[in-house]
Amino acid sequence: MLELRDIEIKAGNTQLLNKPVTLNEESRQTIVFFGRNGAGKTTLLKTIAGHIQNKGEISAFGKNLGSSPINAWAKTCTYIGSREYIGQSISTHEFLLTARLGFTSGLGLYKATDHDITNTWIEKLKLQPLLKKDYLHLSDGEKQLVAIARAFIYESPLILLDEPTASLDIPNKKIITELLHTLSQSENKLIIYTTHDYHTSLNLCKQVWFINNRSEFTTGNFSSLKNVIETDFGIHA
Amino acid sequence: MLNERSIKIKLIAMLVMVPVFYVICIFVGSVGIPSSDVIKALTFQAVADEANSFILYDLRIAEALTAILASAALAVSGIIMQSYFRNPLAGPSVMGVSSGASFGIALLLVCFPQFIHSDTNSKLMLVMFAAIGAIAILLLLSLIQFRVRNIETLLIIGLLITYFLGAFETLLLSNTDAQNVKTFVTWGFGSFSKTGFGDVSIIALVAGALIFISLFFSKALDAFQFSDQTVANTGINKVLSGRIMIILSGLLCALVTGYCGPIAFIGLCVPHITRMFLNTTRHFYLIIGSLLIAANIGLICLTISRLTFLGQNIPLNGVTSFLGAPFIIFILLRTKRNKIA
Repeated sequence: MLELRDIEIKAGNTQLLNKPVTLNEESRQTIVFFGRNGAGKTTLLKTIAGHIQNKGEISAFGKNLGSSPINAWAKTCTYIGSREYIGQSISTHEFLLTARLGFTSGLGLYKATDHDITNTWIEKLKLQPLLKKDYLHLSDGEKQLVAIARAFIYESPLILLDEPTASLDIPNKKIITELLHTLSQSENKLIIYTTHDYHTSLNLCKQVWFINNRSEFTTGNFSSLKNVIETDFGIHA
Repeated sequence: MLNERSIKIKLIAMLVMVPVFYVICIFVGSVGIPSSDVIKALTFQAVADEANSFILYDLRIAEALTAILASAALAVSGIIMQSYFRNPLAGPSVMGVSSGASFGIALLLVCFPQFIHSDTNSKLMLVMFAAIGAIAILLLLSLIQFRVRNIETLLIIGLLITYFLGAFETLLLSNTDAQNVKTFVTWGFGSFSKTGFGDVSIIALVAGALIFISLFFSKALDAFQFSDQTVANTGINKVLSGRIMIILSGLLCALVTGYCGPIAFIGLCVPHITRMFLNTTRHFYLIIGSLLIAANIGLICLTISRLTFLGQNIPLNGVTSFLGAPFIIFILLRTKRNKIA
């Protein structure tokens, strides 16, 4: 389902992934990706998404990054970063729709299905009050909800989110985290997200990716890695 | 379903305005011509008075058609540049692209003065040299773009390129004869009046084709105006689409610059007016809107430049800068607070 081989990412002087990563379990799960600032989390996610070139083999859901055309891989894997650059005002509705651009022709005209899918997510995440507002004037929490809606509007089976809870208040962190774990189940998606909000994710996470202080990458059950992570982060119960 | 209906109504309104301003533009001029003759010319009937016929057909109508086509081409060139560079202040005249074109022309004037006559071939030569200059600057800017994080820095670099090329131009022109300098300086004023019907049809054909191709990059431009992340998630080949955009934009700018000289501000202002007026970021509508609004604004500027002021006609660039510069200051003050998401 997701396989990473011979990927070369340098974190400092050491090689981040020195053995292949394979995920074969069912797709509907959320993986929480922990690691200190600068550990290489974003680089790894962007590499998987194909936004950063890499010589290694990356395949997911029967598609291979190297051998598929750019737009085919884009429909398999979506990466949403912590910040989206927007130079001018745009209505939230129009911004949500841009997630369907990959499905339009060169003219960029949306079809009825594009509107339908977007509207479904507007309803699911209750975004109706935001639609007419300028995206630039939304609060951080609202922007994050919009980012998540866009991630799902792309309709790719693999969703990579970079710090979806950054700069949110405590209740919003909790709402967004819970939402991600629920949606991966109900929508049958594989979601991998990075976070520094260890305590918010504590009760929800089952599978984790972790980069420790020595730039070693590990994957596994949260219960078995909990002690390692807490020692590394300097959290003492 | 979004505001597509209102966008379409606005586009139709803009389309209707073009013939209105066109008619006004044909009526206005320094020589008084009886209205009956003007109406005849507007309906393509023969005008009895030979002098009036020449003024109406070969001067006023050719000039008005050039104004429509050149402004539309510049506006589309500007909107592609703004979205490609993610910079609302990008435009042919501020990024050094027009000066790249004008440097190409200075080079032609000095190195191959034998090519400069007023026939169609030598004008194509001008356009070709202008195109090489414009595209070279755009490619240079697109390489520099990766090294600067701040959008204002790129603009300052564009301005510095303008000065740098200006220095070379001075050097080139100071070593040439007076006639060449005069040709270059007059060309630099910018004018829609140097084109005959033959030139107009070439501009129409080339600009039409380039704008038509640009429409098929609407999707890519939609994605480009946001982050690289959106471009990648949309499944667009960033490098290839980017190169094509630069070439389209450079050719459009060079085509106009070669025939009409460097026209200031239209390529920078019209995309803004279009975005504000249509209230969208979708390039399919923005490109069509820009070319319609540009056609109207080009005709208005031309009409103003024909009004005599203190016994003199106002140069075209005088009009566009007089209207354009304050507008850009207004845009800058307005967008200061909501720059980055």
